[in-house]
Amino acid sequence: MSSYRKPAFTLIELLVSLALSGVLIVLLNSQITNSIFTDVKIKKQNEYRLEIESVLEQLNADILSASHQPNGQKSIKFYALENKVRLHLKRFGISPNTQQLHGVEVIWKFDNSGITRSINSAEGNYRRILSSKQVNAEIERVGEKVIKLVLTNQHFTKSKLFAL
Amino acid sequence: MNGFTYIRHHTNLLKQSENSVIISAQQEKFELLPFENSIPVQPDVSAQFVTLSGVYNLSFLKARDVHNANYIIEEQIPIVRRLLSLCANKPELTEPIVEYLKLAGDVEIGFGLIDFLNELSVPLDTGVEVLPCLRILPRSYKLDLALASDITLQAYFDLSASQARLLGRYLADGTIPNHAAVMSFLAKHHKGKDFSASLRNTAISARLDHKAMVLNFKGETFAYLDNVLNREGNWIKNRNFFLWTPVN
Repeated sequence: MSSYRKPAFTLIELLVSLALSGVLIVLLNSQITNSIFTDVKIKKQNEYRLEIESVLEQLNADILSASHQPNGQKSIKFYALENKVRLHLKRFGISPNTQQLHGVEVIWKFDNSGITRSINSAEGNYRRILSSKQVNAEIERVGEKVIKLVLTNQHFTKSKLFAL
Repeated sequence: MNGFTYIRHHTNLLKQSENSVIISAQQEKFELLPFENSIPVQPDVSAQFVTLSGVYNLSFLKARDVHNANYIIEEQIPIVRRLLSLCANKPELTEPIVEYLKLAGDVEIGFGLIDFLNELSVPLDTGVEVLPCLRILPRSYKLDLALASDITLQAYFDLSASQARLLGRYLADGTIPNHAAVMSFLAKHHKGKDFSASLRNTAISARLDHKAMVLNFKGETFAYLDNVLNREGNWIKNRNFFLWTPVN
């Protein structure tokens, strides 16, 4: 009586391979989860960084078009207190209703509640939240006609010089 | 993917910055035109020169006393009221103007009438109406009677329209060449009134010390470039306004 045995893995081999696959799956899974988490985190950081860059560009545009005071300097006042900054400036704007040029007061706020830009004009008052994330802000005069604004959050610090 | 989006946004922001640099460079080119006394070479851009030495200077309203404190020269208030009436039919603007100047520091180069009216929250359409009649500069910039309009003469010396026209003609043709001749002309129309204080703010020289250039693109005004002659005799920028900037 002859016996024929097909070639196959032994039970031990199967168990070892299953155990190795299990370890690999666990390792890969944690890596993928970490990667997705990091990806989302980086995405949010990048979005916030872009948000801040846009805000600084917008502030620069406001400062560039600010009206002047009798001493010939731009009509800008700023207040800083405990990582909060408030900027008041007067500028000209084109009314969305009448398309006429008119004077407006623009107020920028950088504080725990984020960044807001308010416009007060004869046509009405508007307030826009440009960022709702907490930001620490510092402002200082670095020259007769230059100010420096530094914005810090938990991930990065961004600063910009503004010519007055 | 995120990296790509970030780079794309960042490139867009860089493009924005680049555009603002191009606009600034274009504005600087336009700002040089009045100094070069040249006309714009860009197609569709035209320039119009405006003489401002014959326009009333709002700094005449105020002076400093011996204690270096601001005070308003009361005799000048009716002049401003008459100018605002004749130019823009807005005599009620006189009080806010006077109140602001009472509190403000000395007026220096770099402060334009449009800035001033913005400080008072006056709508710009009113501002445009008063531009030919009022300016704001340091007090040393006198009212040049030889370059003044009939309306300015009428308001400044409280004359009738026909008397102001006559005075303007005499100043232009040299019949009235100096302050003494102006005084004798005014004595005929205002018996017993002393104009010597008012005349201290004036000159009869026809020497330009304040001019502006209005730039238009396809007939639409986009810039107002205001320049003054400084003490050293050089033309310098006073205050330039760009509503927008045409870029090539």
